[in-house]
Amino acid sequence: MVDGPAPATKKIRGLSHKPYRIRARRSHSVGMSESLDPREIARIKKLARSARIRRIRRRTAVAAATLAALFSGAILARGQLDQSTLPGDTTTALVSRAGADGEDESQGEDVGVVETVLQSAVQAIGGDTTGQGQSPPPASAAQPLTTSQS
Amino acid sequence: MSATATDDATVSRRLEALGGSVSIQASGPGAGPAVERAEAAIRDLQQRLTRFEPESELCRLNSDPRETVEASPIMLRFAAEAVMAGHLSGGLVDATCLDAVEAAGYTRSLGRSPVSGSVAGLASRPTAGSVSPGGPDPRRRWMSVSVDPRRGVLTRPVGTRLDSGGIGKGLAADVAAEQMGDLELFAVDCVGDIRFGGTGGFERQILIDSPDPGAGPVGSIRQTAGAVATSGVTRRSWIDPDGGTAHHLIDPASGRPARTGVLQVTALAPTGVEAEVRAKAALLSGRRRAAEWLTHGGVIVFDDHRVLAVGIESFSEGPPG
Repeated sequence: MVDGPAPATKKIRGLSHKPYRIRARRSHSVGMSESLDPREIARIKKLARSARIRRIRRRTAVAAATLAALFSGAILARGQLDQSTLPGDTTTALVSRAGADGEDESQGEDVGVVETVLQSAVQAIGGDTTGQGQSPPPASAAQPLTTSQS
Repeated sequence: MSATATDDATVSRRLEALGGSVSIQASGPGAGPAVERAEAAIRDLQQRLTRFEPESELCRLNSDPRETVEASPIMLRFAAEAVMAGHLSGGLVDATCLDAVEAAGYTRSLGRSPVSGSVAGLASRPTAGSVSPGGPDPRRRWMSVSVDPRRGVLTRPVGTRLDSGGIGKGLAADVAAEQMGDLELFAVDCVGDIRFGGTGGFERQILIDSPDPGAGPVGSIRQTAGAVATSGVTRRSWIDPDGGTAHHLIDPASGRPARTGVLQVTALAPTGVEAEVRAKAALLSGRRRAAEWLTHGGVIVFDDHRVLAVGIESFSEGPPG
């Protein structure tokens, strides 16, 4: 007899009698507490916490990568686009979406920090996070300056 | 001095100072008073730091027999910048080489009048020494200069004289810019050392004058803010008693006008003093090492008229189209 494909579950070391789905972390505690001793429950909780932290880190990394991409794009586009096309609203919305399904409050805080950093970055490169636009240059800005031997 | 309101919000001013022509231009609310303050700062600096007026603070300092001397804030700042220049350039930019400058013949204000003849003529004239990189004066007298801003005193060995030179022009651009930093747009040109910027973040075109008197610019760059300075050996130059050419850029190691294979260097930097120091250090260090000094970008013109832009993406060679 040939065995079928392995179930898409992850077996917890020391838990031989019942497979445990890491992803089903919200339902494990009630059902398992009846058959597991407190040490095993503690271990399971620890593993679930690790998985949650990994998820948060992954999402934070995605948010950071989005920030970097937007920042680079904003610098490249600045000379070509009107300043009002680089508002913080657009970039903030994208970053917020990256963390919209977050289940952990701390992740929400991380995204908030990322938003603040992003807005500062856009302002630092001359962008307008308020969407108010920039005034036209004075006529004198068109006059060239000349440097010569001093 | 002339003052012009070029449009409703732009104020421009031109004055003769620092051995040449100084221009100030500013736009935005408060431009008028800011330009007044900038002009006053430049005039004060000129009056105190010139070495061609016996009653100037610099001349009195240089002849003072005391080791520690009371000094004005701008003099203290100049001395501090001179020490910084020595450190930054490894002694190539040495503000204590006044004896050598005067020995070379630079004893009066030359303005901006070039030596007669073209660059080709200058290069073909016999000049003391062959082409070689400059170096620091092993005595490093600039290291013996110190300032105490709290007491308002400057200390240096008696007999060590300071030359404001290019550092003074860069400093003039810096002190003027400090009066206008919160304006929408400003620019100050202190005889070729320029500071520009403003809260508007508007891009400016900067033409780089040719080392060949009368020729057009060798190129142009575009920047929104900062400083740019140019050092070279084809202006402020003269014929020495032997019939050769001499100029004001002294090689501290030899104490004679430098001949390094570089005619002119333009340097970008955050401040006028730093731009001035980097330009002069690049020129003095010679063909092979000049580019190393242009950390913030710059343009080198070699003695074969080859033009090399370093770290400036916006550089466009030749006259602007």
